[in-house]
Amino acid sequence: MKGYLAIILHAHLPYVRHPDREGMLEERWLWEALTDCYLPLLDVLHGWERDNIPGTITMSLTPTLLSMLDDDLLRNRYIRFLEGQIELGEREVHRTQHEPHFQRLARIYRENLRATYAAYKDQYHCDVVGAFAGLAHRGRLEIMASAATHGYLPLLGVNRGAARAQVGVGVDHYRSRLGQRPSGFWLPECGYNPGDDEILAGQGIRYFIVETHGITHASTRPRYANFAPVYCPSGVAAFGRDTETSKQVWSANEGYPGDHVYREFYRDIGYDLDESYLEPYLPPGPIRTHTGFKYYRITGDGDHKEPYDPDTAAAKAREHAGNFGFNRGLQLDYLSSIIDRPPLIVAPYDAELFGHWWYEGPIFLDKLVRQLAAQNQIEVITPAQYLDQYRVNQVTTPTMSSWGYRGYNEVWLEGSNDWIYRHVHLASERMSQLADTFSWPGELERRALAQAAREVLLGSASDWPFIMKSGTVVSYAENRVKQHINNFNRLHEQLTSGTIDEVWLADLEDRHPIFPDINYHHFQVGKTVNLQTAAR
Amino acid sequence: MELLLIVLALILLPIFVVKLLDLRRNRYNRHRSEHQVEVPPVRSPVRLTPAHDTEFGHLPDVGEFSVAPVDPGPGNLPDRYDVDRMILMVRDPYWLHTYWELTPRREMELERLIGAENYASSTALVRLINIDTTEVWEAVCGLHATNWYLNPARPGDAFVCELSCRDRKGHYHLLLRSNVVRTPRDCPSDKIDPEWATADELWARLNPWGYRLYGGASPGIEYIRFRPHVGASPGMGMSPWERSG
Repeated sequence: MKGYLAIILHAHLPYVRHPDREGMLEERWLWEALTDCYLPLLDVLHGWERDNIPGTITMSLTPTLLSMLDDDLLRNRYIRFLEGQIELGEREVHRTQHEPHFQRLARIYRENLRATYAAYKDQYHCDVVGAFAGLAHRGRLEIMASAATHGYLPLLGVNRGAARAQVGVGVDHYRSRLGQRPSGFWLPECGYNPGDDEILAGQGIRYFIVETHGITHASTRPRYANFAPVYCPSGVAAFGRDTETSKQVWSANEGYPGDHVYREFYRDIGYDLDESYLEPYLPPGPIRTHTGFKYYRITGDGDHKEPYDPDTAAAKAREHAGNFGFNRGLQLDYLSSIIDRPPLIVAPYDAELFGHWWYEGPIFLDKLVRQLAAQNQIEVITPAQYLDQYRVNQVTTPTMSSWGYRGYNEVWLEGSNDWIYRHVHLASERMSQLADTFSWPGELERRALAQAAREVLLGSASDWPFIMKSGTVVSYAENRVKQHINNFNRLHEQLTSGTIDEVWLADLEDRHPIFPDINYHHFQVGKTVNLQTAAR
Repeated sequence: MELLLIVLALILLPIFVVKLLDLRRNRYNRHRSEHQVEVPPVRSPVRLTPAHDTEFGHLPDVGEFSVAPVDPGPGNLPDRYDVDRMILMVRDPYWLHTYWELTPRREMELERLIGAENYASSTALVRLINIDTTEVWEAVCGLHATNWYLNPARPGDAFVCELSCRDRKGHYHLLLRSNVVRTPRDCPSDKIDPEWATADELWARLNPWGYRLYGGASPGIEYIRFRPHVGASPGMGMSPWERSG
């Protein structure tokens, strides 16, 4: 056996729930991820279970994603979305009746949508989380916990209560929903700051993932670089991402998903066809967006695109899986000549890459794991399984790092988004003060404290500064931060003055029913914080 | 007669006190406007990428179209919270970021402490102190130019930031002090755990795809739909900071 490969898929979406507005563009993120990624991944995982394929992959399912998947309002909306998509599929089959190649694709999409609809309603009973949890309970999948609202801890951690709350509320939600304690914790954006591991240790976490240089730049030189974990002084293990496996999948120049036979993401009928035809299936406006009906392949770097051939693309995905496995074998052979234990390659990816961004991704993943199982040279392992086998590891302190651009905190702290921190930090400090101060709250106070904690957490999501940096739906992100911080400020004022508006509070609870049993005490720092910084 | 004088004093004394406070406040406001130095609130030589160069992330590409904004609730966020505080954050091994809020209450406290004339003639400074090396960088600032990027370019060191006034005698008077942060390393450590030692040559071979043994973050990867990776070494522009200490 040459070594180990840990495939980790990080599934996350920000909490988007607007009960008074259906069809918002941002809500489609969940529909698209479910249709293109999560349900196809479940198919792949169940296929491995059915065929008794050895090897276990790891996934992180963030609390905000879990909450949305469990939400009845969103479930019903997703069913209506699928029904609309199937109707669009029927129309596409009819529209392309004189173009056999495109009609074949339209039929495939329509049948896939019908199968998705049947799986979601009849097989999973709208309980996707339950489906993933079932695989985990049967040992076919390892699920990591993550931060409550995917807050970026190196920058939020200025207030330790905020960092503890992100971890504590996230772990609480995991335990209540999945019925077990998590072994692993996915740090949002792999954002690590020395000392944050102590918070994870306090929640019983065994391991987390960091970027490559988080390990290789550790306080003492790691003997095995990022090809074995290290223990932080707190006892929590840190696993470092492998660069080569990342490049082969993520790289725009060298990565598989850019192959010219694969489906072109940006050629979608949502942008190509007449608005009057598409209007029933687009967000109100209508706003042109992706529908999932894509008929062209990447072809090349220019604008000219050739028709997509799913058979050729599927064959290419299987070929790429073979190539990936072959390269891992070479890589492990090379590493084995240097280090004195079987090397571990840690390969984390955003789950949405497989199926949404890279349409053929699930085929690649399926083929890869089956092939590795057949060859029996590389074991597909989870980080927890590795720690069970290799209990003795070097103790050192990883360095502050992230998997964001340039490897540190820049993505979440720069000109477009730095303004949020004076509001988010103070809200977190005040929430800690409230948690410290209200020792015996009445029922109304307890509800207000819980909702205040939710608002702080929702306003602290790393998604908002990320969106501001990437320049996509910036106004939406800005308004989300303002909304939640304003809500918190108002709750803070009401709690400290003893004048809680119960009607308004109930409205907030109804709009954002995330973490119904939230334990706001995670925000406690154990003393009343003096915000004065007078000279001493 | 004596009773009449006492009554007049009780009536006139509060009026006199109020007038005195008004005079002090006006002088304070004049002082503030005279000593606010216009400086750019944000310093960063790093160019922001154009809006359409999106990083690969877990959010689908939603195209170029804006959406109906979420109701932001009761108004925009407050400009001020009436809380004295200064926060220091790490951006990367070479750059820090600080923001602060200074209340009139705190300014008046210091003015009372060191005297009005001394305070009025002093210069407001942001001071960045390297705790490990005791180096200090200073820059003249406006007391309410409250958002700064700082470039000490000292990986692996601990820092604290202060907002101070320096009087004509060169004495520093603290207004605000930040939390302490430590910048991350930008290269592998030269400290070796003897129980986990390995030869340099072998350790370098653990990264055979061109990753330099020293320097920078993980090797640059051009992600799908990423903007091109810029070299990890910052090479940032000259800081206008005046180093002292």
